[in-house]
Amino acid sequence: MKFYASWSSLFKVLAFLALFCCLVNCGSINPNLNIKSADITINLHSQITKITNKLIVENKGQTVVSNLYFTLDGKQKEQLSYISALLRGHGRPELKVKKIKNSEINKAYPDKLFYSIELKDPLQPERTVPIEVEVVLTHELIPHPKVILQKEKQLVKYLGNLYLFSPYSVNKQTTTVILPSRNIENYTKIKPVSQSDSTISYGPFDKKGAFSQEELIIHFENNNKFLTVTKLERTIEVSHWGNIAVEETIDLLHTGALLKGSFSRYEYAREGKSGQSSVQSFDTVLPAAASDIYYRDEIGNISTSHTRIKKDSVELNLKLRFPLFGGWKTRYTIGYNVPSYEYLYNLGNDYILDMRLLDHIYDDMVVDEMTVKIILPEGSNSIKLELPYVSSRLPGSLQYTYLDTTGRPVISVAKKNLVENHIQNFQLKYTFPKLLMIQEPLLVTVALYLLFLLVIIYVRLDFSIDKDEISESKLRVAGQCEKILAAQDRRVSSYNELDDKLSYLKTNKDVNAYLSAIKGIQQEYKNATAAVTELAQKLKGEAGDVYDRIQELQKHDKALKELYNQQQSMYIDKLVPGKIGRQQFVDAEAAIAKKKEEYVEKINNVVKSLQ
Amino acid sequence: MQLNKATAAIAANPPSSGNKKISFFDKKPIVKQVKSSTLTNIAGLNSLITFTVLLLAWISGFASRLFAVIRFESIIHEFDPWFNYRATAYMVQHGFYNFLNWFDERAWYPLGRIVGGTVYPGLMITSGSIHYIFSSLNIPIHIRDICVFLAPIFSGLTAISTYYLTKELWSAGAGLFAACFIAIVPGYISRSVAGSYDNEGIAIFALQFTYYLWVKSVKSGSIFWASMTALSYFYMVSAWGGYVFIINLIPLHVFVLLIMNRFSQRLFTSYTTFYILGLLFSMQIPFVGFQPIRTSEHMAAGGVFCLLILIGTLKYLRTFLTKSEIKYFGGIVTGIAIILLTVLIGLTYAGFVAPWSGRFYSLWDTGYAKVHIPIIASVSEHQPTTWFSFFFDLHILVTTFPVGLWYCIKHINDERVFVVLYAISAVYFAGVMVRLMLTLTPVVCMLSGIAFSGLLELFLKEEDRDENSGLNASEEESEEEQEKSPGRALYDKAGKLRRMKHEKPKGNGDGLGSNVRNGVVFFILVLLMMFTVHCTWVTSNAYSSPSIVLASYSNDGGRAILDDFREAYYWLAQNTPTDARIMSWWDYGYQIAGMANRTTLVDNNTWNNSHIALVGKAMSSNESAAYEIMTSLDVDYVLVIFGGMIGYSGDDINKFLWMVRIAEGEHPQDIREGDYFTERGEFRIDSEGSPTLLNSLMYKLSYYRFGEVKIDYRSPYGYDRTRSAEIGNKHFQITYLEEAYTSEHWLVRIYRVKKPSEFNRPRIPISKRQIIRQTSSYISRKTARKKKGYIKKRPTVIKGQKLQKRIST
Amino acid sequence: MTLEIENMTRYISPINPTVFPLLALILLGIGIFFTAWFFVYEVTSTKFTRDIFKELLISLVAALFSGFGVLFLLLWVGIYV
Repeated sequence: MKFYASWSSLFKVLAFLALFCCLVNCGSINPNLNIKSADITINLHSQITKITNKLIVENKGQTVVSNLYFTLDGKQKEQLSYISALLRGHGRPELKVKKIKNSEINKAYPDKLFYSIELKDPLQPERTVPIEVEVVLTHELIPHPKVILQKEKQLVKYLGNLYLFSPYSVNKQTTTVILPSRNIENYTKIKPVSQSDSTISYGPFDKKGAFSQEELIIHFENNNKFLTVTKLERTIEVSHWGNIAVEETIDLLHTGALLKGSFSRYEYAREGKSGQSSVQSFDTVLPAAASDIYYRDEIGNISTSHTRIKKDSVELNLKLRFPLFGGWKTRYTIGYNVPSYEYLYNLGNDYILDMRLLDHIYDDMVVDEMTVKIILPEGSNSIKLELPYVSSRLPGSLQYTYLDTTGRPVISVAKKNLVENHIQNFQLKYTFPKLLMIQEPLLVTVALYLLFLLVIIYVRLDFSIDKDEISESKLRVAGQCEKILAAQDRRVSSYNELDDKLSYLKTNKDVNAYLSAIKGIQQEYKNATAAVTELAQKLKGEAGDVYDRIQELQKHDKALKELYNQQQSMYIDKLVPGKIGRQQFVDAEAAIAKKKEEYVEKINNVVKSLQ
Repeated sequence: MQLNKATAAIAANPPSSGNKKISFFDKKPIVKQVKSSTLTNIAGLNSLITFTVLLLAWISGFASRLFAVIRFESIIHEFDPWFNYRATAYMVQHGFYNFLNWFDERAWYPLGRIVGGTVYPGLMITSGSIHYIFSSLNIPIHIRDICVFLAPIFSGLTAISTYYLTKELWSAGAGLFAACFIAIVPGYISRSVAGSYDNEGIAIFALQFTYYLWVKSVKSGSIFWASMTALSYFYMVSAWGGYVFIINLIPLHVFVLLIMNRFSQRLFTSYTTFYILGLLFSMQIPFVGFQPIRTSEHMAAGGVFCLLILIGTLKYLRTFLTKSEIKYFGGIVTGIAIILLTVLIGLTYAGFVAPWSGRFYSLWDTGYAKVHIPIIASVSEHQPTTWFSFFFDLHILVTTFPVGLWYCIKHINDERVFVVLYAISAVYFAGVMVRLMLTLTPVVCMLSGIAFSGLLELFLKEEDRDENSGLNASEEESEEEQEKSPGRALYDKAGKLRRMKHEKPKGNGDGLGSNVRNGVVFFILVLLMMFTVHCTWVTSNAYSSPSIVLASYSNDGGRAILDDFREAYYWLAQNTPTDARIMSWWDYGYQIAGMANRTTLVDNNTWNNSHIALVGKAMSSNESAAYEIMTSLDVDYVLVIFGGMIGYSGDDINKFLWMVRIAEGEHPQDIREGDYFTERGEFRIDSEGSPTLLNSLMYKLSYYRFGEVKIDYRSPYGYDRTRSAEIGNKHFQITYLEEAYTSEHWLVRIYRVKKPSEFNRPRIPISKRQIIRQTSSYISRKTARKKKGYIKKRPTVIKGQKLQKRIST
Repeated sequence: MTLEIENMTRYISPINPTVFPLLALILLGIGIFFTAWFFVYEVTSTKFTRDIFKELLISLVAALFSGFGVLFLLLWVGIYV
């Protein structure tokens, strides 16, 4: 909003400046300006009217002129879609064109539209400047007759001005009209005029005063696409995971001559001339990096389309569900993904999205109404939008999609009556703290964790009305047994370690290393034994038989431990110092091992009974 | 010698060799066996395996239902699902209460349809609430996608409830088998592929779950489980007309148990609780309303309820009465039973209790529908089942399920009586009507699961014993003891894990050699593998076509998609006035409403036979007679399906005879089936066809300007590929209609009905714009008695399931 | 504002989109393992043998891995959150 305010204040300043200029410089139309020559080209090849005015402006006055006016008839206000001016010559630099509102001139000529063209360098007295003004108008070609049969050709009528509609007098001018075909029913014959092929040339004409008008009527065949996008909804969704998703929902209407009578599939399929003005398919040019393209409508995919990948673009040949005849309409959605590095720029936490506000739909397209929605990641702030041309900014809103909590900011822009010349970039600046990206996975994590917590709580809940003491106590005993067994496991592993150490001792005969190594093992063993004893005490009251078994276990374990001690002392006291003969040692060890095995067996049995 | 002795000692008794590390080589495993942690995990492993198997069953069931989505797209299939989808979308958009009160003026023009009161809302509520949950979590999933994937997701739930049911009936191992079977068996997939958004998709889950809870409650005799059964039954009632199956099967179970003298307090508690709660619940569904107490289909449940109470009273009285007194009471019981039956018959006769509906009759007499209700007979899924389709839908299971049945009968108990009854009744119904294969499939899966589990339990166990026979005996002991030990034993029943225990082999397994065992196991595995392959093949080829998008395959393997239906429907949606009324045969009513969002005259609900007959009459009449009907019905567009251009066999000309028959049923004066046959009784569309057929509206609309088409060089002009004939009436003009749109492959043809001012014809005054029907000479082929059970004025008479689906050829 | 495109760099995802599938599979695999462990533990332990800290720890690990795994799964299938 802040940005919007600054934009409009800029406008105010500019308007003031323009007003000031007018007051100081001319006050009204500068009588000293004169158009030395004018070449008007009216291109009626497609459904839109493109008028190129090549003018040479001459300053006959004494003062320097920095801007001049370009005028259009007030009737063309609705049709006018785009106007631009450039300086002919080296580099063809673009000139600023501004519509003049609420000034003296508007009051003087209320039925005319004034545009002020700001010259790059002020025009010195007695000098000339060549400029070119391009005007694009839509819906100017009226089908005539309004309804046609399927096999008939489409004829349209153009109604325009033969002369340059200028606030300045014009010394010399020519007008050229370019038509799509040589089938011309009728055209205004004001001499000098000549027709060659599909071009009609008028002029040159002599000096005409300001605002001179002469009706130009051309009635000709035009079977090109008379397709209008009545409504375009374009959504650009930015994801900081490296993707920009674009989706366009397009309402199409065939605005040519209406179809009269029946539609015959037989004729349409068999006869080439049938349905010339109908539209079956067209090409849409998408950005080169576009991927995951989809083309569908409310009832599903439209399976008839194919893409051609070109060097700098992806060309999508869209075949409509059904051919469009005059007055028929359809509606479809097209969407694709582009990687973020194509359009998104970043410095620290600041981002700029630099992207087309409107993109190509088909050649010579006409868009009656466009709404662009830009969806930024959740948490973006200080958003500033710079538009390439005047559009109305709609109030922002929030959008909630996957893993959103506070909603994603949506910036909406609307504009009416657009043509291909409006395919220009906008810039959207915003700030997004990078840390917020981790919010989404954390959200899932927290949700899952809550789920687990729910399970943890659930298993602790007891819904039964009466308490089953027996099974309760069984469970408790089982729980204790499990703990005892866990302690027993620890004991087992300390025995295993002890075995390893002993065998190591036997081979290396390093008593000191052995003694230091087994310290920890002994401690572990003691702890485990103590734990078993302690746990067994708890069981004493509850389950006598289990307690007895554990006592048995302890007894066997003690004996086993004793055997280990014997083995150890035998190693340390006899084997290491070499006090024992080989055969003697082998026998003694075998005896110990046998006993050990016996005890292990017993322990195993007890343990298994506890399971 | 010494050395020799020593080495020998090592071999015999390794620890005695005082040499190096070998000394403890053998001991370690013994000592380690003491470690208990490996054994404690068995219960956990058990549940993990069960869980994994069920999850995999769910995933594979889900995945194999996705052929259509992968080959085509996420789209609603066929006919009925389009209505369900439309109703769901309406509910999501307008809320549940508006949905209940929804009067759909876009259907059955000019009558309209009270949708809220004539649907089973369970399906819509299910997907609607899923959508609600997702959207409240900010997950923007389109309701269409939820509808498309609902049936595959529910197939997983079906598998799980089948597991539980089989576990209750037999063992967990059999349950796992059954769950895997039902996940992929074609008989169930046929109604639950992605996109087939129909009542059956969730109803089979509800059916299985209700049965599980019922078995559970019979086993436990707890009010809790019985109430849960009633709740699940409520869900079933809200989802599908097939609930009648439950409300007859459960009483049958109780009745048979009573006959078998297996009365128990458990049975008494569970049935009485279930019946009362279930009755009350089921009456909450608007479409069901008072049917549970007013129609014959539900009377058996009430009768068994009374009987059970009587017997319960008797048993109670027996505790303090003498034998002679009991006999006296027995007489009273018989008397009461007779009185009740008389009252019931009286009520039926007086009209308070509706007699069995025609659809119900057609279950007993397969020829009934053909004679009396052609519209039911015309639906392809109401045809009797062929032997082939049993094998096609169930494959190996159809041969193994009698084995399971035999096992159950051999080891009979209360709940196995139930599954036996389930199997027998389902087999009968599946034989009568092809769509009832669906109710047979779950029980076949369960019984086959029992059979396979029994077989494998026998053969795998032996093998294990063989392999492990050399192992320490203490292990076996420990395993047995483990069974006794508290807590863990609870989980030790899963059949697959049983083989970990080394019980003494029982019975006949002894004599089998390991070769035989291996051979049998191998054979079973091959069978199961073939079953899987067959299921996948059937699913892929037979049940995964959305039928609104057709695919044709060229010789080089390339695929062309024929999207004519959607092309035409979308044309209707975009380029006709929003209140335009489209006349088509009833098959396409739901699709037109769903995809084109236009008013239709008749649709797949088929509640009003005379309206359908009127449309059939218009289609069968000549153009001017049809125009009279069409203007009287305010028809703006007529839509016909024509397959002659591409050879699509399910088109309107092939269904035409049913239109004629249905029209004849209501208008025998104007339409006679015989007129549409040649003298030799053939139905021909070529020049020898009957003139009535060649001039009927349907014929003209299908073949308009087709006579100018030459498909290829060899065939003549106007060669119909579907019927392989050159059409008989080629160069005709139509006066009262004009071609408005024909899809690319001529599959759908739409005509606009001209206004009277558009052709050279005097304007008819409004007062005369109606069909003049000679009411005096109106002849119905039905007699007054046979008229019973006829669906006419009342939509609510349609009990059980609503009929639908395409008409047969 | 001094921000101009000229001084900025093109923005690329902090994690290369080509590794999304790998990340999703690995993280989800670990997540599922811990989830399974958690549930097995819940099923096998009785109320006398349960250890709340062990439960909380396992579930936290499971939730963390699954959470990130789910995110990358979403990104992999084209739901750019």
